[in-house]
Amino acid sequence: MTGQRAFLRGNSLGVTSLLTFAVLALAWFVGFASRLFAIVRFESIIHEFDPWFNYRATHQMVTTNFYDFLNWFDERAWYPLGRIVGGTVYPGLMVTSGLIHWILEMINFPVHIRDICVFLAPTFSGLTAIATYFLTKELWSAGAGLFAAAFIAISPGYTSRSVAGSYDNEGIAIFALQFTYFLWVKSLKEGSVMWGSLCALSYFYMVSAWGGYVFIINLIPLHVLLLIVIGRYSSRLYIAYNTFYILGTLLSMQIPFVGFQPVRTSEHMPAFGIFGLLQIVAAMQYLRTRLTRSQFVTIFIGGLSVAGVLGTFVYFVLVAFGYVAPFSGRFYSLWDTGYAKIHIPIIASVSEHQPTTWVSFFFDLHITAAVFPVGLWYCVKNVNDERVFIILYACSAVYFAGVMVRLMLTLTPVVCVLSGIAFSYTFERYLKDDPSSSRSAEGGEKATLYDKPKTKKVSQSSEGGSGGEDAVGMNTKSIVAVVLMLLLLMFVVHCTYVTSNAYSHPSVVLQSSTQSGGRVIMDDFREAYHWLRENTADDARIMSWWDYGYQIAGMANRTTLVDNNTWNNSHIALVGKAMSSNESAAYEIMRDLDVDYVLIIFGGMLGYSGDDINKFLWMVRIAEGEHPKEIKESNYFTESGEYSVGPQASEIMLNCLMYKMSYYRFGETRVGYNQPPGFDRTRGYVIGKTDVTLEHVEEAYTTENWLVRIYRVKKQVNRPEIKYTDRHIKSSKKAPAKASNKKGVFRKATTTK
Amino acid sequence: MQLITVLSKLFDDYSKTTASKLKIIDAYMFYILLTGIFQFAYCLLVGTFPFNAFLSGFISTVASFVLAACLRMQVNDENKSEFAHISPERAFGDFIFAHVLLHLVVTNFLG
Amino acid sequence: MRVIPLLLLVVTGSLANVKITNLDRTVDLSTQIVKGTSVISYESESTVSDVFFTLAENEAEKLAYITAGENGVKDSKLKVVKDKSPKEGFVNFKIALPKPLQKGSSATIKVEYKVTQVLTALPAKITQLENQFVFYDGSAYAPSAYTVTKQKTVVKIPSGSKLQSHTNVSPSSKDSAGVTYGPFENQEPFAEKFVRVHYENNSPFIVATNVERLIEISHWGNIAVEEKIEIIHRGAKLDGPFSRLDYQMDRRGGKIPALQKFKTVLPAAAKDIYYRDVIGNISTSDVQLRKSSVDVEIRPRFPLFGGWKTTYILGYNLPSSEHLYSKGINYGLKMKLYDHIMDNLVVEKLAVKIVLPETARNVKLATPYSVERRPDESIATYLDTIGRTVIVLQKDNLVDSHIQPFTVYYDFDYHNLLREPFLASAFFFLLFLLIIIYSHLDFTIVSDPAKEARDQAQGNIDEIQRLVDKRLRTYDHVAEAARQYKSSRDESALNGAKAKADNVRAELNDSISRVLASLKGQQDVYEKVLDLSKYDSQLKDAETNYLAAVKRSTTKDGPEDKAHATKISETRVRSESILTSL
Repeated sequence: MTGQRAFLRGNSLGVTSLLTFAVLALAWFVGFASRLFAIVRFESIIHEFDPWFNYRATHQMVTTNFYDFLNWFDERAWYPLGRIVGGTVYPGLMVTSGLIHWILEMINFPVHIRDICVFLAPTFSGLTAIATYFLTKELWSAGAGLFAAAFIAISPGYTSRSVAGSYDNEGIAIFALQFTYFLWVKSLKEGSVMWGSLCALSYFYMVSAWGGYVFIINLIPLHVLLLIVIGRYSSRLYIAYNTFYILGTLLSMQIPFVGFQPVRTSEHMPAFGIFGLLQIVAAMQYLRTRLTRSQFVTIFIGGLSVAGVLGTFVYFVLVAFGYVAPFSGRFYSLWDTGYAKIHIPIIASVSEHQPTTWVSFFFDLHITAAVFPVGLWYCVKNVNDERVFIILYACSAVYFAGVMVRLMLTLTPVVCVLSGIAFSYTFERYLKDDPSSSRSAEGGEKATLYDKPKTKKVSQSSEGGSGGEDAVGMNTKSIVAVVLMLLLLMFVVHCTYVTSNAYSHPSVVLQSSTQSGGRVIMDDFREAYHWLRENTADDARIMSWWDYGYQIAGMANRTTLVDNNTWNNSHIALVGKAMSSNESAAYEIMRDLDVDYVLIIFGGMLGYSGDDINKFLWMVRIAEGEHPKEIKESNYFTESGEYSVGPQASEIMLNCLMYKMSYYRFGETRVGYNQPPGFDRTRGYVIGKTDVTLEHVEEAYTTENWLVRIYRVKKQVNRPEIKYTDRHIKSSKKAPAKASNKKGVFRKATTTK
Repeated sequence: MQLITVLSKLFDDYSKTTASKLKIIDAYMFYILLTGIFQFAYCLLVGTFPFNAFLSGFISTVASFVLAACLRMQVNDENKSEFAHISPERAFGDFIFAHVLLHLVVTNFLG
Repeated sequence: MRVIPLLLLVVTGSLANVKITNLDRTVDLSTQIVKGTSVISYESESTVSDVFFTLAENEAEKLAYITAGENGVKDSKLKVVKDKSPKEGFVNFKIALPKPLQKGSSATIKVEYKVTQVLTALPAKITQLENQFVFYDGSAYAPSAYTVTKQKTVVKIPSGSKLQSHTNVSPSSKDSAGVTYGPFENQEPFAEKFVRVHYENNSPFIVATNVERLIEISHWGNIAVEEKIEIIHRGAKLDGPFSRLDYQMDRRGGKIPALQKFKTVLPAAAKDIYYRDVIGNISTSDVQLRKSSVDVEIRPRFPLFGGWKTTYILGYNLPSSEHLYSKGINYGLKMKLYDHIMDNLVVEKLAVKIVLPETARNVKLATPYSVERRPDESIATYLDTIGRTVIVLQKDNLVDSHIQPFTVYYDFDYHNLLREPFLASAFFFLLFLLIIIYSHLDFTIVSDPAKEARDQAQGNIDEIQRLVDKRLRTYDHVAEAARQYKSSRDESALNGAKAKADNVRAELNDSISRVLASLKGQQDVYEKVLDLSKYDSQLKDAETNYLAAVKRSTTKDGPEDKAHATKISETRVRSESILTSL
C-alpha cells in the first residue's frame, strides 16, 4: 500500500494523465457503443427523413467532386422548380464524411460512404465528450470535466440525435458547439489572439454544419455585454472577442448558404453592436488612466450615449431601407410559442417544434436535470469571467429547450457540464481525506465500468484539497457518497434504457412482435421505394406529402414535388390542396404539375398512427393558408366539430383525394376475424364510406401491409370516338377532323412526358 | 474648449509616456484607419458592388485594425500583469497567425 | 488459302455420304427455356469422323448451351463446334464422333440444346388476374443437313396447362402433355414446315439481365463471394393496376405468373450470407442448411409481375480450404464460374471478377466452356500497397447447365501474407514514436523563467517526498528488528539495526536540508517541511522509548508493539497529507 501510494504520488502527473486518457477513451467507447442499438437490432441504415437527404448529398459529393457539389442543381426535387443544393445546404456534414472517406481511400481502406455516414454521429459523440471535458476543465476542474464527459457521452438528450444512422447536422454540430465554447472560454482566459483565431475557426466549422450557429453568435456577445455591465471588462476580453468576431464573421460568410447574412440580418446585429461597443469601451479604458475622473465621466457618458443612440438609429434606418433584414419568423416563434401556429403552420406542423413537456425533460436528462441547478449555484457562488458564460448558457438554453422539443439538444451539453461540476464538487467535499470510503463506494460500482476510474480520480484530487473546512461526520460522508453513486447508477440504467427503447428506431423499418415473442419486421417503406426505383420511368414525378420527399429522393431516386426542405410554402400548399380537393379538382392540379404517381402512407391496416390521414388536417391548414377560397378547414370536420373519417364525416372529407386513396378497396377487407369490413385499426372505427371508386387515378402498387399506397395518375382519356358510320351529319367532315387534330396535338404533348 | 484642452493634454501625455514600439503600432493603426475611411468614402460615392469584394476589403481593414489593437495591448508594459504568460514574441507570433488566416480567407472571399 | 477448298470438300463429302435413319426430337416448353433433345441415328456410306447437327437460325442465335453424347452411354461427352451456315436459315454444328463411322455402320447420338428467349407472350399484356399465354414458333420437321428417313417431334407443354391452339400438320396428335408431329418419312435435307404452338405458361419468365460475380480470395482462409443481380420478368406485361387486395385473395397460389419467391442453392460451406440491395437489407429471406448445399429462400421486396424488375445483392463467405489447393507456392482456385441463382433462369450477361491476393504471379486460367477474358484490372483494398490483380471474365446467355467449375492457377509467396500485419504494426509503432518525440520537444518561443522555477521547485518537492518516504521506512525496519529481537533475544542485532537506521536517517536529514536550502524562497513549503522534521524527531523519541520497552518486555506482540505500530502509521498519514499538499 505504502509503496503503491508513493508511486502514485511520485508520478502523479503521469498517472493523472493516464487516468484522464483512460476515462475519456472509455467515455468515447461507451458513447459509441450505446448508440449502436439500431445497428445491432436492424442494420447499418440511414434513419428518419433529413438524414436521407444528407446521405444523398454526400453520395453525390463523393461521386463527383466538391466544386460540382457546391454547384449542384437538383432537378429531382421541387419539380418543376428544382433546388440549388450547394447554396441551400450546410455542407459541413457532407464535407466531414467526404473527407473521412477520402482519407480512408488514400490509405487503401475502402469503406462504403453509407457506413461512414451511419457511424459518423456516434464517432462525433466521442469528440463531443472530449470537447465537453475541456470546456468543463476550463470552467471548473479536470475532475468535473471527466464527469461532464461521461454524462454527455450517454445523456439521452444528445443520444436522441446521434445514434448510428442518424446522419444529421446536429450530430457533428454539438461537437462544434462545445468545442467553440471551449475555445472561447480558453481565449478569454488567456487573452491570446491565437486562441481567438482557433475559436473563429471552430465557429466556422459550426457555421458550416448547422443553422444553430446563430446561438453562438448571440450568446458570446451576450456574455461580453454582461461582463462589461458587471464591470469585468479586461483587455483579455477585448482581444478574445475582437479576434473571434472579426475572423468568425469573415469565415462564416464563406459558406454559400450563409452568404451575406452576418452583415444583412438582424440575428447577427447584436454581435456587431457588441463589437462596436467594445471598441468604445476599450478607448474609454485607455483614456481613463490618462484623464481626471470628471473629464472621464463626461466623455464616457457623452460618448457612450451618443454612440448608443446613433447605433440604434442607424440600425432602424437600415432595416427600414431593406439593407438589413428584420428578424425572421422562426426567430419570433422562439419568443411567442403561438406565433408559428398562426403565421407559419408549416413550422408548427413539425412535431419537434412543439413546446417541451416536463416529462421529456426528465426523460432526456434524468437526474442531471435535477442536479444541474446545483452546479449552476456553485458557479454563481464562485463566479469568474468564464463562469458567467456558463450561467448565461444555462439560462438561455433552458428557455429555448422549453419552447421547442428540438432545442433540448442545446440544453443537454450545458446540463452535463453543470451536473459534472455539481457531482465533482460534492464528491470532493464528501470523499475528502477519507480515501477508504471512496474505495468502498467504488466496490459497489460494478455495473458502470467507466465510473470507476472517475471515482479514483476524484478521490485523488480530493487528497490535494487544502483542507480546513467544516468537518462532516464519517457516516454522513459515506451515506452521501453511496447515495450519489446510486443516483449515478440509476442514470446509467436510465440512459441505456431510453437509448435502446426510444431512440434506436430507424423509422424506415417498423418492428412488431408476434404472440410467441418472435420479431416481425415490416419493411413496407423500402418495399414501396424500391418498387418506385425499379419499376417507374426514370423521370417519373412522385407527389407525396413533404415528409416523404427526402426518402423518395434518397431511396427511390425519383423526382418529388415537395420535400423536407420546406422552403416554398405555396408549392407545399398546392400539394396540400390536391390532397384535400375532390378527385377531379385534384386531377387538374396534378396534371398542371405533371404528376405521374401519388404516394400516400396509410396505417389503417396495420395500426400505424403516423399516417397521412392523421396528418391530413395540417395539409388542409397549409392549403387553406394559400387558397382560402377553395379549402376551408371547417368543411373537413363533422357536424359536431370533430375530425373523423367515420360515418359522421362530412361529404367533403369523404370525397377528398386523400380519403379516397387511403381507403380505396379498404371496405372489402377485414383486419381481424371479429371486426367488420372496413374497420380502421388506427382510428378504431369503421370508415364512413366503403365503396370508393377512382376515376382519374389507379392503384399502381400497395405494399404488403398496405402501409404505402402508390397511385398512378391516368393519362387523359381520349374523348369517346363516334364511328364514322354512326355520325349523323356526314357532310361536316371538316369540323370534327379539325377538332381531333387539335386534340391529337394535345395528346401528343401529354404522352411524350 | 474643454475638449481641446483635454485632447492637447492627452497628446502631450501620449508623446511623453508611450514606448517607441507602441508608437510604431499606433502609426500602423492610424494608417489602417485612414485606409478604412477611404474605403468607406469610396463605397458611399461609388457603391458597394460587388458586395463581397467590398466586404472583404473593408473587413480586412477592420480586422487589421483590431488585431493591431490586440497586439498593442499585449505588448504594452502597462498590461504586463494581465498578460504575464504572453511574451511580446508570442504576441507577435499570434498576430502573424491571425493575419495569415485573415488574408487567406479574404483572398478566397474576394472572388 | 488452300485450306478452305479442302474443308469444303470434306463437308460436301460427308453431306453426301451420311443419312439419318431415325430422328426423335423432343421440345420441352414447360419453362421459359426451350429445351430440345434429339436422338439421331447417323448412317454413313463412307468413313467419316464427324457429323453435323443442324438448328434453325433463329434458334441457333439464341442458343445458350449444346451438348452431345452417345445415346445410352453414361457420361459420354462429344465435342460440339459451331460450323458455318450450310443454307439460308440454318446453322450446322459439327459433332466429333467417338470413333470414325465406317461405311455402312451407324451411330446414335443424343444432342441436348437449350434455347432462350424465343417464347413470345400473346397477349403481350395481361391484367393481374389473367393467366399468361405464350407461343412457340418452329418447324414440324427437325432441321437436318442430311436426308432423314424417319422422324418425329414431340412438343411438351407444362402439365395441367391449357393448349390454346397449334398448327395442324398431318400426321399430328394432341394430348394433355402437348403435341406430337410425325412420324414423317424420307424428308429431304433442310425441309421446313412452320408450326406455332400457343399455350398457357404461368412460370415467370425471369431473365437476369446482368449478373456481376465477385470472388475475392484471402489467404487468411476466406473466399468472399458477392453477386449483384438484376432480374426482370420478360413474360406478358402487367396491364392496368396492381391491387394488393386481389393479390392477397388470389386463389391460384403459386401458379400466378409472377415471381413471388425462389430458392438459391449455395455451396454447403457458405456462411455469413447477406441479401440486400442499394437501400439496405431485405428482411424476407430464409436459410436452410442441407447436406450438400445451403438453400436460401429469397423473396424479392415485391412480387415480380410481367415487365417489373428488381436488383439485389447476395453475398457469402466460403472457407478457402474447400476451394484453394496448393503445392509449394503454386496455388489453384477451383470454383463455379456461374453458380445457381434460381431454377430455369436465363442470364443475359455474366461478368465474373476474381480478385487474387496481392503479388500473385503467373496467372493461368482453365474454364469449362469458352468465356471472354477482359483485360485485367487492379484494385487496392485494405492495407494494400500495389493493388491486387483482378481477372475479369465475361459470358453471355447462360442457363443452369453452365454451372460448372473453373480453375485459376497462380504463384504466391507465403511471406507476402505477413506484409499487411507488419505494415499495420509499423504504422502504429511510428505513430507512438512520433507522440513520444513530440512530448519531449519544447515548442516555446522564449524561455519562461517562471515556469522553469516552478519545474525546479516541483523537482525539489518530489525529491523531498522521496527522501521523507525513505526516512519513514527506516522506522519500519527498526520495528521489524525489534520483533525479531523478541524471538531471538539477540541484542547486538537490534542495536545494529538501530545504528544502521540512525546512520541512514542522518544521511537523509542532510539531503533534506540541502534540498530545503534551495527551497528557501517558498515560505509555505519550507515551513511544512520543517513540520515534517518535527514529526520525525517525535517519532524518533517514540522509537527510543519503544526499544527500551521491548528490551524489558517478554511477551510477543505486547501492547507496546501495537502502540508503536499505530504511532508509525499515524505519523505516516500525517506526513502523507503534508506531502500531498506541497
